[in-house]
Amino acid sequence: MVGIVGYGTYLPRYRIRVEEIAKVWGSRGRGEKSVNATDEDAITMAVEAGLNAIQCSGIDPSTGIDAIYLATDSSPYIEQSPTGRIKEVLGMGAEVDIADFMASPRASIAALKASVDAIETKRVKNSLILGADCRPAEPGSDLELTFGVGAGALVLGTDGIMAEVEDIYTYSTAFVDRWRGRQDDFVRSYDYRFTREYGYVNHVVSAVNGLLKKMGATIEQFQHVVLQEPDGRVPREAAAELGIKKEQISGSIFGEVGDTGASSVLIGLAAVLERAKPGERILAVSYGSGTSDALSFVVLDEIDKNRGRRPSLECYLKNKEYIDYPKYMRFTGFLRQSGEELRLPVPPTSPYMMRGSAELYTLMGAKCTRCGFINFPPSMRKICVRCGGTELEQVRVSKRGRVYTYCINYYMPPPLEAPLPLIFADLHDGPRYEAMGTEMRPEDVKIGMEVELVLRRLTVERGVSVYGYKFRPSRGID
Amino acid sequence: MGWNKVAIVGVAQLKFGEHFDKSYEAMIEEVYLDLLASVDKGVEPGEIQAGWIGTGVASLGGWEAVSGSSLAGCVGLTGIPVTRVENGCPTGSDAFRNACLGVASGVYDVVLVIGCEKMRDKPSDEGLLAMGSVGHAILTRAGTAPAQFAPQATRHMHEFGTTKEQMAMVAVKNHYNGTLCPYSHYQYEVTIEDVLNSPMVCWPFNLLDCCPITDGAAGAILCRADLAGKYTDRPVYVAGFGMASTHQFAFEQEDFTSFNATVKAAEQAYKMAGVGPEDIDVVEAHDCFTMTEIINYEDLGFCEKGKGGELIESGETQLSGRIPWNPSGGLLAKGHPLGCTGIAQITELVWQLRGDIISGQSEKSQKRQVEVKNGYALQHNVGGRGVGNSCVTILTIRKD
Repeated sequence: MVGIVGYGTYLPRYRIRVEEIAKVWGSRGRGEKSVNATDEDAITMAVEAGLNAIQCSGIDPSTGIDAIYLATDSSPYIEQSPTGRIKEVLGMGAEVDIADFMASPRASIAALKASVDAIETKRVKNSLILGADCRPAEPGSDLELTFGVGAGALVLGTDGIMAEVEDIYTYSTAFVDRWRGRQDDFVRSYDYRFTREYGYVNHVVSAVNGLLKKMGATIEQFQHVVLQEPDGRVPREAAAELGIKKEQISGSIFGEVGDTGASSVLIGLAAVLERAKPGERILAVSYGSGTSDALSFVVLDEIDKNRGRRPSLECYLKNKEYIDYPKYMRFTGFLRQSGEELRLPVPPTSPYMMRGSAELYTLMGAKCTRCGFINFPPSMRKICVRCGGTELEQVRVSKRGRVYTYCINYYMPPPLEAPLPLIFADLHDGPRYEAMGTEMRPEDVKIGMEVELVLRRLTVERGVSVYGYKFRPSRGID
Repeated sequence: MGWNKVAIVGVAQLKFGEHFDKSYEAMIEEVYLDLLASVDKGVEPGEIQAGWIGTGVASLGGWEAVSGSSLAGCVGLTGIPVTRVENGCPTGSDAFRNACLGVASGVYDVVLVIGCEKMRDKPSDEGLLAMGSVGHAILTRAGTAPAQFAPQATRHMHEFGTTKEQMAMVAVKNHYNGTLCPYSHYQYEVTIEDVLNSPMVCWPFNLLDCCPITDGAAGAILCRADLAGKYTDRPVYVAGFGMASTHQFAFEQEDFTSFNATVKAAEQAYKMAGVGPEDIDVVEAHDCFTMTEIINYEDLGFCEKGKGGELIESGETQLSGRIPWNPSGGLLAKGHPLGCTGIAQITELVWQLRGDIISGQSEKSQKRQVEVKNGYALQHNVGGRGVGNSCVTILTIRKD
């Protein structure tokens, strides 16, 4: 028996009303979509969703997870796996397997299926699935009105299952409705009146019917139905054709975040798992690039075990700030500040960066066994700066702390953005740590405020995405 | 009784400013010639046995190769030993300290120390970034020069209630002093309102809370105290010095309301000189930013911890006050060409102790000349990445 033992999501803070976009181009729209801050990408979002899912599962990531599968259409790379860095940040060792699933918004379910297979063969005990997307939309296009961003994560395993994977059916053809060629900057889409019927609706209906037939089940046996949401219309059309009732539709958040691509079904699942009851059945259906997967889950008693423990989807949905179109252009990288870019003093692939992984990515300190002081950064401290002791051990430091002092830079070169708080915070059980602040306006910064370190993208140099920690005001949830 | 083993027999400095027409080498050459001419009874270049050149950030700002040849090669002293000193903001005063050590060791009788910094071959903002973001490729990436000192200011305001108005008073005082000093980069007065209304640079520092980016050069000729009479009848002695290198990264310091390096360097200097703050007639201390002067009052022992804001408010550190601080205009008005600053401060103090300023005979020089009662002057720098380095020098006109 294989199932979900933990789940998590991440949505950025920022939203733009679709109307704000539409009116720039002379049209109309409704609802809103999520927008990544300039320092966020699919990888940073996947990390936060992954941390939430791991915390939900109660598993120690340094020992209990055997594989990470990342699903995204927004990888920073055509060649190079970003998952190695994600794995490092999440505190997992070299023996943990990684794999990247791409090429379709349905990829997260492909990752889920591969995970189920790996667990059933007993090669993997627990796996972490990450689905994240942060796709740029061409200004003035239809997709600009619908493309949102977000991340979802599941931990799959065999112990403490909250929702068991009951059955899976996949329906796949060579149908092309959305695509992005190697030379294209943006996803393209074809005639909606054609593709909505022959693409999404046809494949979703076929996948669900295939699953029902395989299981000998009827649609009424599912209390919750989660459908991939590339827009607000096709899920309703497919549901109508399948006889799915309105009260069965769960986890529908397109109107609040937009089309979150590879994370869509995972986020929808999380929304359902937040309130599903033992014994209920969940139907989850993906769609992308001519392929639809239909999955059946059965909710078990363990579902109640971690409710309320980590940032819930509801928290991410509520914690939002609206931005206007110019800011949206800036956040998504279309408007760039003038000036010479601040370059790293060493190439991003330098041994300097590899040596520094304990302080840059896994957040370790070097604790003096003699006096207890936690030295930082650990790769540069073999001797205690307080007492001169030479026996230092690496310890994980907390990501949360209180602001001790700060300053705020009002002039910054690209890719940095002013006003930029520089925060000195005392980490709980850890050293004093200095980092840039993010999601903070100058008036928000106060000595004594609770902050937490989050992974963000610092820059892209020589084609390499460089990540680092920044302080964000604590979301107030442990 | 001070250490007094080394005497200063000549000092010189260029007017500070944006010398777009002068190269780094040209500034060294010009100050070197002024320096030779400043020795009352004259000195021959051939008598100079060793040199120290203080240039703190040229590798960031100017790209010249780091070695003693930068000095020896351009003043015609090729063949003598020259050490290049780079030690953050205290570069100049540490170069001076090393020159003193060279003489005190007995190996050299007459030595030369020059500080020179070419900062304006780059735009100011690029230079500020280059200086501030060094240390760690990622952890200190967004650091700027003001960001080295601003978090301490924020904390001092938080713990002691020091205000931005009190900070502004430092700028008002030093800008006024700068108008009296022909070597000062800035030559205009400011009011408290001017400071508070100037653009915000790095909270809590507005533009006028910050020193300018400046080019400059200064130098001194030192010799064994017992040989001073050959060069001048009015030597100034080095009564004591101190230097402290502390933490590497700012986040390693425990207390942000004080610069530990200053406290330690001052302890060493006062002990070596056998004096305390109460004996000092005039101070040239490191006011790279307004709050830094307030913290220096406390760290150098001129007031109690936390009372620096009250001291500036009292007016006692004005030229007309009990203990004038930064009669030259300080870093805030006169400027801070990094490797040169410490030596320029020493130059000002030598002139003050000798009464050379008043010999300028203008109304301005009359106001700038302080009254020398005890015969001691104190120079101070603090800085470097993380503000972990400080140098303090105590000079005296007294022979005892």
